[in-house]
Amino acid sequence: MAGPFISGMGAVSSSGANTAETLVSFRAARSLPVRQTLFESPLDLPVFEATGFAAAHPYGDGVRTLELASHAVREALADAALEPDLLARARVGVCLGTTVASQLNDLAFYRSFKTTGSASMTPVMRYLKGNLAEAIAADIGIRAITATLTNACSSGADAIALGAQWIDAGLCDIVLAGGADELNRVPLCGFHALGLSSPLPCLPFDRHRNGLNLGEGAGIVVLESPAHARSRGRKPGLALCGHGTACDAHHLTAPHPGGRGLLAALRISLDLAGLRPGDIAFVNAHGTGTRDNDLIEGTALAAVFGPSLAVLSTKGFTGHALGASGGLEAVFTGLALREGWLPPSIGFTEQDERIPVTPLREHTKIHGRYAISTSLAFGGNNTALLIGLAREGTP
Amino acid sequence: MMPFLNGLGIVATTGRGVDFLRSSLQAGWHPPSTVALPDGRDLPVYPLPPGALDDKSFGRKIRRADRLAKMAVLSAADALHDARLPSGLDRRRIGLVLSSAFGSHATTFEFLDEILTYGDGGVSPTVFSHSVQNAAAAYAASVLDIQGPVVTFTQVHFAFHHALVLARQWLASGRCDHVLVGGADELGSVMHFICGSILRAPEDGRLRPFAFAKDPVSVPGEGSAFFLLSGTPQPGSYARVEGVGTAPWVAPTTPPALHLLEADGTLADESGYRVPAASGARLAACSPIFGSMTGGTPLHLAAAALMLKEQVCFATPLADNVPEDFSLCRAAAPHSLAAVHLTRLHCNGAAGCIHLTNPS
Repeated sequence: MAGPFISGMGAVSSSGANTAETLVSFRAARSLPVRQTLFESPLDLPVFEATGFAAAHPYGDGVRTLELASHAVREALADAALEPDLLARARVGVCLGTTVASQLNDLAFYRSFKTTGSASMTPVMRYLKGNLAEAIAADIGIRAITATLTNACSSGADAIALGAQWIDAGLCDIVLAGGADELNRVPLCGFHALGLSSPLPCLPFDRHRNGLNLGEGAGIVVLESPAHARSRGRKPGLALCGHGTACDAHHLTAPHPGGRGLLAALRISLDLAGLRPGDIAFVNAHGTGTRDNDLIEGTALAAVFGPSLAVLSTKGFTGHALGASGGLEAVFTGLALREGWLPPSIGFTEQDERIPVTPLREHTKIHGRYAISTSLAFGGNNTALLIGLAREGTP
Repeated sequence: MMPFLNGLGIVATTGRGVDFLRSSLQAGWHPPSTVALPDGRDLPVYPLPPGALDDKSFGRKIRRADRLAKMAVLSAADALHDARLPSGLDRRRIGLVLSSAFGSHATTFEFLDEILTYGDGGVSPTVFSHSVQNAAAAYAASVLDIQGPVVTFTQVHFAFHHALVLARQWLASGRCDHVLVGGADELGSVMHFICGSILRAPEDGRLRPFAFAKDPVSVPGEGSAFFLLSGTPQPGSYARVEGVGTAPWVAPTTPPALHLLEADGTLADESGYRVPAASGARLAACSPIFGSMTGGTPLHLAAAALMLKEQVCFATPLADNVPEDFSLCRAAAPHSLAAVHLTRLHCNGAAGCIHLTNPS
């Protein structure tokens, strides 16, 4: 099986503070959108808040994102059985995607500047020292190549693809890759202004879908070169067999009507893995619950895999965690392959005749070893991550 | 894979285009302009010259674009044009990587202003969508019909180095035939205030890259530079990218003909530049031309690439403070340049290095 091993995974979201809790939520088909409690806003929109993770500091903008990422990284490292001495001897990369943690969007700072012409530099220094990838490397005490990607909603998936490329290029033995984002007032206002937020729990791919719910969390994978993994006795399990990224080159916020970039990303990921569409057991779709995304994505998926594709969106469990979503959904895809079952696509009940795929309505056994997680983003970015599960005895 | 820099586009305080870059490097230092801070102080800055972003050739496509996106679009378009690639390229095999230290902060602050002024439910969707950090790359991709992979890095340190590594990897893996790789950073009223609060401005407006100061001065700048990177050279190639990386600084195994230091006053302590400066190579610095920019590596790389292509060393501006024992370009003159090494330091001790060689 080609591609770097996925030696460990960690996730924190509204579905659970770790992968075990996430599986319990998925098994129970439990969806928990709430009225947001993390900041003041008159907007009454359901969101998915992460709970149960260790919060060490009072939050400033971006700091909660760091804590979410740190929490998921520690789970992923434990899952990969990577002790500090092993990390210290390896060439390590930290490659993370985010939206909120990349912006100096501190309202109190700006309000003070606007009204008094002066403001405390504390948020600025916090931002300068809080670059997500650098801060995580410092947090776990390693010297690493660090990069923070800001590709909007595909940031986490693109970070995983970049991590794989660092390993392929021989730059790293191990890369901690994924995405993290916190619920924040700025995107809450922004998505509402764009008319993309639903006042009700989101309904991905459903005929009556009317928008997304924001969420938060972090999803991290430990990518490891097969040679390095074998050298420490790791048996093949999950691997990132392929990845494809392509741009619509069409519009800042709307997907290409023909799904041009997504179609290309899917085909590139299949080519890189040396697989055919029929080899794919399921697709964990971006599926935000917005009118355009789900129509374009569902149509493109059917064009590549046919209408009987097993497909789901996990946004009904987690909301749209923006820069974290690609990381979270890669972890969810890996978990499903490892567990051999898929949860239902929460929120989907009634078929939209214009969408030629039908998301899962119930728990489903997986037949196959390969799956794809898709991410679509503002700016026309489209990314497909193709994850495989080694058969027992596979080299 | 050691790809070639086949095209260059730049918009900075030097103006827009390679000709303005050359003439600015030849002319040497010029005094910064000043902006008034809210507390009444003047802050010396190197902004884009007036009108540098005025360009009607893209019509409505960039009408709504913010300042950062316009910088990126114009410099990326100029790099593509400069490379004189044949028509009929497969746009699906061209990628784009944008790096930025701070991203679209001016638009982010504009959006925060909308929240404070109009309330959470009354903000502008256009301003929000332009505040997303990949908006500038998205504009460039859309305007130039780049259908390959498009990635934005936003981080204070070494964002461009990571962009260049990724661009090389796309070429090496066969994913792309060409990659537009560049960076952009902007000034704005809030950034002026931040710079005025945390950086030390020189009383005489002069940046001193070879002062190796523990408490350096800085003059904030802005700009964007893009390169068309390809696996094979085109007629008029600027340079070949032999190496790029971020790690604790080690001297190049073969001393380059020229070592360009990016010391620009953005580190709290710039004494660390004394080590690479002592590597024995002839030294140069362009920060007094471009101003201080944490994300300024693409601008410095543009200068390095031009020197290699034209086989000329431009004089280092403001060389009055340089120790006698350093070999420095003191006057613009033809020079046989086989390689140029570019070094930027991080406050944690790491160095971002790019090694260019003569493409011929």
